[in-house]
Amino acid sequence: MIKVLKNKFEQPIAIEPLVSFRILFGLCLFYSTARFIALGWVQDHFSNTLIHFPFLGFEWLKPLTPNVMLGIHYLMLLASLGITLGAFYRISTLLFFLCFTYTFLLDSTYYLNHYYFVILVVGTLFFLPAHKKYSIDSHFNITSKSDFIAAYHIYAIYFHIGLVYFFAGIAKLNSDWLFSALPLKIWLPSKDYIPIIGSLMTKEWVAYVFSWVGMVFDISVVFLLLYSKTRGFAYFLVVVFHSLTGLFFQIGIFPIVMIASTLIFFSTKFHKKFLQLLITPLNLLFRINLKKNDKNQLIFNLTYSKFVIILIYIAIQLAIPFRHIAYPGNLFWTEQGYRFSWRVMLMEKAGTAQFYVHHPKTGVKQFVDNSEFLNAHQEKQLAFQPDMMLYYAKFLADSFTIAGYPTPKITADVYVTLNAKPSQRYISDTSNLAQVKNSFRHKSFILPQE
Amino acid sequence: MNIKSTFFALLLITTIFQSCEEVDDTNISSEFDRRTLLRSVADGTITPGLSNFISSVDNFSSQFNNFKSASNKDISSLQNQWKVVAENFMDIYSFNFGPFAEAGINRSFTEEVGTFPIATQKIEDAIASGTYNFTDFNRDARGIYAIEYLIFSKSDELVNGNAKYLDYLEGALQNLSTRLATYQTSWESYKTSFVEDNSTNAGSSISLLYNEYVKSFENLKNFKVQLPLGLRPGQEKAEPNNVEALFSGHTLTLYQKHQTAVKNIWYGIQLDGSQGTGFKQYLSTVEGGDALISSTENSWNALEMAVNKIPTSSTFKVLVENNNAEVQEWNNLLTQHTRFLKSDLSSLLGIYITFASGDGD
Repeated sequence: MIKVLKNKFEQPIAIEPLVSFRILFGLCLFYSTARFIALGWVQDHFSNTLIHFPFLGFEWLKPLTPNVMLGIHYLMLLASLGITLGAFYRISTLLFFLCFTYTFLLDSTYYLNHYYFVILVVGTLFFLPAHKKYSIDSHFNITSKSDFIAAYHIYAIYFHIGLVYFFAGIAKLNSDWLFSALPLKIWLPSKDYIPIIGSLMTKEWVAYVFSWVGMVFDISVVFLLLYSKTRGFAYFLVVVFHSLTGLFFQIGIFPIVMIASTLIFFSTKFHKKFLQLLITPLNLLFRINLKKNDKNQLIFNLTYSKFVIILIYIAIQLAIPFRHIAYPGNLFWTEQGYRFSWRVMLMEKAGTAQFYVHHPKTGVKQFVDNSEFLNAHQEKQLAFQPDMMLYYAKFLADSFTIAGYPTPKITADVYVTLNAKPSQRYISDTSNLAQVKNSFRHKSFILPQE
Repeated sequence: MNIKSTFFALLLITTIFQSCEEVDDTNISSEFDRRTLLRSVADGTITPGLSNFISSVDNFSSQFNNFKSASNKDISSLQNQWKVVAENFMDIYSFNFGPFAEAGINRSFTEEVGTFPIATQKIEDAIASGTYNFTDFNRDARGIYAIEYLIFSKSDELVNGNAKYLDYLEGALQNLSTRLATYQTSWESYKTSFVEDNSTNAGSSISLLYNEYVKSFENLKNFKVQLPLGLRPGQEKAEPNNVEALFSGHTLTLYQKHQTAVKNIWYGIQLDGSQGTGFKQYLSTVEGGDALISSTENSWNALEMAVNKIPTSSTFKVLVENNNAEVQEWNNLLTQHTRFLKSDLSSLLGIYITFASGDGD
């Protein structure tokens, strides 16, 4: 079985789908970075804030000066172009991976699954020979040319796309989603202003149809894309589905990324045509001479150690979304093991968090105005995610320490509403949050959902 | 089609039909037209509120002219009229969007018109030197609370006809009138597009209105009540001089007015008392809305009772100095009320309150 899989991984396969993917994904990265800069988010996210909410274990990562942060984003622009053109490909992918991962890890309030997806894919691209054809590197003989790659090079991308859809689908198998059409029953009516289909959005059955179709789509679409006879139809669904969610919800570049990425499932013939179409105008302009590739490596030997590393990586990726099982309580409520699991647009959750600093001398409970320290986005995210509450409590304790007195006690009244249910107290109002250590262990200060 | 794709097609179709059977053609929401709410607030509260505010300032100005020319000066009518001005201000305190928003060097409407606490020393220095322009960054030396300072704390100077004080007051008054006229013109032209925007995206009319509405409520709690009480972290004791309307002592009246104004917007009650459309009516059309309406109404009632319980025998400033229990209780209820307006409301209405991207599916 292992042997069969290894052989399958080693099969030579045309390079074109991977090249198209490199070009399109690189363009998405370029657009995404340019958009991020243009919207002023570099400053908003990394410079104009007093506090950043690190990921557990990455507390040591700090934002650099505003100009350096902006410089890093311009570097990412350059790197994404490098990826697209296959210019200094390894350096470009590595550079983009490092810069993007760094900015991603700075503030967990901005966590998005598709940012995580970008990190995994760019990290994977670093190892893949996507620059061996139709690239600056191969044109100028910086790398050897090849018409073929090993099958697992393509499978690696299939796998990551599959992860996103499949686990997003599995996550929808919960009673709120399937049997109460929540949160779509909340979200869709607020879209009733959209022309033509808007009036449907207030219908209850539409919320149910969207919920079920969304679930079936997510679970099945990768299989439908893999199979040649259903591929065209599946891609049509991909385009419709992502266009709709892009139209309905404030989800940035994600729809474009998925519409572009899933093209990789199409045949070599399709991608040869696609690349020819791309290259023809360039040819006319620059007289690019696509020389016949001299060295066509047709045997791909995957060493056992590499093969084992790949299998371990796959196993880890398949296990991570299930790590929530190790924690007690409702995952949606506690969010312990929620991130890095492709749980997207699954719940409507919001909270109000009133923090108190207990004056070290007098013991008087003083009221923290979150907007004094946090931007609107951070304030919103903080109010229902317990690990952020702990970082914030530490920040407050440090900010209001008085020399010669014990660290101030920090408590909070936090009320959270989940999927339109009346808000209820979220954490123990007597816990001194400044003294609770953030870790991967269960956070016992979270109160159970009623 | 092979077995696999047939299976999936069948699964797709059956699930669609199954879920259709379970539910009839009921509406989750009765197609609430947000424009009704926007129009109700714009035409029923903001437009008349701004007019009332302006005419009360005009009225104040003409009374000031009489006062200035009178040989026997009586300041009481000016003081009474100031109270009317300040009360009218509370009616349009919650709408710092569009032409009322911060933009460039301009701060929000409420800050431009009604910054407090004011810097009395700045005012005194300006009066003494005679150099002031009312267009610089000294917002704490102009606006309605600077006027309050002059007519309540410096009434002797005014009554005695001290030209320097009279000139400063006149200048501050004229500047206020000019600003208000500009706001009114901009509002009239902005209003049309404001009430036509039915969307719920970040930056949409409903999102702007909602955000500023919540800010106004939080302003009352954080800055008007907690700050004077000395209840903000870093404060060592009560800071009673930070109350609104410090010099006239109308603090509690204005706070009540502020609370009522915010409450009326939620209930959809317009300025003339007629029933329009507010967040309550919007909530009644969405999933989970009825439960939230009921808890919010209970909380409004508790707030109303709490604010009415605050003794009027001494000024709010004195109550704050003495750590008055009723004021503390009101503050606690304001804090508890926050979630009904802040997270619960926006969550149920599906309004985007920030521009940041969410997770895509």
